[in-house]
Amino acid sequence: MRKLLFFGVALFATLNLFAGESVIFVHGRGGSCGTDYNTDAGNYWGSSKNINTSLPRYFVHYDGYSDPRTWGSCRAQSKLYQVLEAKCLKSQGNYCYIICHSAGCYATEYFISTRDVSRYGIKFVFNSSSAAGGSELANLKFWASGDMDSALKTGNARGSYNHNNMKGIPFWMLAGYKGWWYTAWYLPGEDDGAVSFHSTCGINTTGSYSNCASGYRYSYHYIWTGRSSYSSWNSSKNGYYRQHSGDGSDAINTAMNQEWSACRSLGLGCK
Amino acid sequence: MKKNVLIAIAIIVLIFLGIIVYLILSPSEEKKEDSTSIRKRLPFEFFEDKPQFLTPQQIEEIIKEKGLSDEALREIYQEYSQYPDFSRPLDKKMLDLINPWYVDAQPLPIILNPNLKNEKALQEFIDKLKKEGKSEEEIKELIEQEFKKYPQFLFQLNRHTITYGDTIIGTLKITDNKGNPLSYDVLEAGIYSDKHFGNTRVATPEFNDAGIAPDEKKDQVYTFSWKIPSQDKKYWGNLSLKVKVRIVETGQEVELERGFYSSPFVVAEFMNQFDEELKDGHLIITAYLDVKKECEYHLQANLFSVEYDEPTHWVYYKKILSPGTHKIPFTFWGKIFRDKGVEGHFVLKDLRGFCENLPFPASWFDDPTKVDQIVNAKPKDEPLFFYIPYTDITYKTQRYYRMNEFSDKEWDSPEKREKLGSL
Repeated sequence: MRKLLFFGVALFATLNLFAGESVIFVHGRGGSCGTDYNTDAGNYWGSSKNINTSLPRYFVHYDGYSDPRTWGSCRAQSKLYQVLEAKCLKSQGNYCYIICHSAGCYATEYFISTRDVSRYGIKFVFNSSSAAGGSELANLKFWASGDMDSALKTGNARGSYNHNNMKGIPFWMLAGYKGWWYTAWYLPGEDDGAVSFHSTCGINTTGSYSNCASGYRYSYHYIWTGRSSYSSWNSSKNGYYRQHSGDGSDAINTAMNQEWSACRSLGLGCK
Repeated sequence: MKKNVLIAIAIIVLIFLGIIVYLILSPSEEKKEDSTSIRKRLPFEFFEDKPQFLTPQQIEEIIKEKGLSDEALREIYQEYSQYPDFSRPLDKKMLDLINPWYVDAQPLPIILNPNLKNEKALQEFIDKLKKEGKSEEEIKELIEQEFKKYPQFLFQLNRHTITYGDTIIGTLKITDNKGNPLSYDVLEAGIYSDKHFGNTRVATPEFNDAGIAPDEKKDQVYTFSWKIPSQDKKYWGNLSLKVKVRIVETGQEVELERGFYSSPFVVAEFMNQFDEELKDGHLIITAYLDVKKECEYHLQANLFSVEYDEPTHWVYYKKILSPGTHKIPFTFWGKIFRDKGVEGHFVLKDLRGFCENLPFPASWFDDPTKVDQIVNAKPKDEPLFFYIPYTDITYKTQRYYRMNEFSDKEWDSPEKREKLGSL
């Protein structure tokens, strides 16, 4: 009986070690809305979602052509709220790590800046090519003119909320600089084909930056320095030789996946 | 019985001794020393002889060593949570907050070939060239050569958002591909409405390059200006200033555009009325707000030291407010004054705020039974923001505040303790 009790306590303690922790993915422009946050609706993340983790993964999936700052059915703010309420409430012993891509990082920042997030156990946000600073492609109306594209204009993305108001939640920035050859001419400085360094590095002004560590970053935005030997990290750029979209060896989300693995294997906090 | 009492006393004494040993050797003390040593060896931004804040670069030094480990997160949060979320240090490099209505524009190419103007056309163009047998390298070279010839334009606005009573002012500079200014004539200029209201032309801006205000001088940089004429819905949302120009040197006619947000409704207004007090070592400046529309307001302001001409704080206040006059108590955290080493008079500036056009009452956010309704609410088919009209009202404190009047206490709250405990 005593052995059984000891086993029970040990099992409980082991389970509690990771009790209620999870990884939440927030996709960017173009992703689709779904009803089940256990699955990656429309396979937006492809193989990059298969990060090396012992934690359950959940997906915020919203209409990726709608304004990421809006609320309601299939809107980013409501969907993020839904997953945080279900999986990241501290009162229920839940903690979470957020991985976002592009406009998903814009949605996440906006949420944290404008809502009371003290009840959520968000440990950190891993930003893969954040579009929270907007893109000149939106300024030029290069993309089809939907609400997402209006929201991505640099004036809207930067002017509509306080990017410094991250409530003590660290934002780790992973920036790509392998611009698609056919869009590089539209974007200032280094870019990943959709967004320039001024956004992906969390810099607090627009500009033409060739090094992610240039400029002055929004409070609580930090550059994640590459640890993985596979992720094409370049220390002279402080970024990854990766492009914005896709799911291959060229993609920033693949670098994110590799960096998570390295972070975990080096015992640096990714679980 | 006596034996049991003695055992109990012995246990209590052991626990007590254990706590003392733990407090002496606890890792949190080591962490404090780590943090202090990092602060000591890193340069501070301002007032080098005074304690200061860790910059992002300095914190990156911590994460280079410790990654995202709970230890690193704890160290960073300890640094952060000296001051509360709602009252934070401000410095001159925080340009987005120092000039909160302004977002810098970047020079962009004037794309003369319609095949390169947007994603769809470009993709079709590339596909066509590929079908004609051109390699990717040849296509790249072709497009690159074309872009190298293109002139550029810099369309700068004085604000990212215009509010009722305020004027948006845009300057348009066109240069050749080497950055030399090009002369141009303005053929047409118009303000176009938000997509929700049909993307139609709703107004004509004034413009000139003759030095007539707001234009500064005749310099091949036209200035465009427009003031919202009324609180009409058609002026609400993402508007565009579209300009058709002819470049004198080349005779090319092109349409250039710059988007901005417009909020024509007066949902609330800051009144030129303030109170000030020192409470528990923190400076509270109360601003009076005349609310006309019930909404959840997100309000912000900046504080500057008069004597040091130095920004000190940015503050944030969020609350659902009903119509009527409301007192908004902006709290300027005492320890920030102490850590920045500033005393004297202070001036409150950059009062600003907005509320969201939500598809449900904001009060639902605090109600756990409303989660499903929030998730399933029908989205608004309207623009997102109502802004409080721009104001240049400032308030200078009535008296001189000495450093030792400010509290040097760190922010403390159950939430902070809980978070530190969880890391």
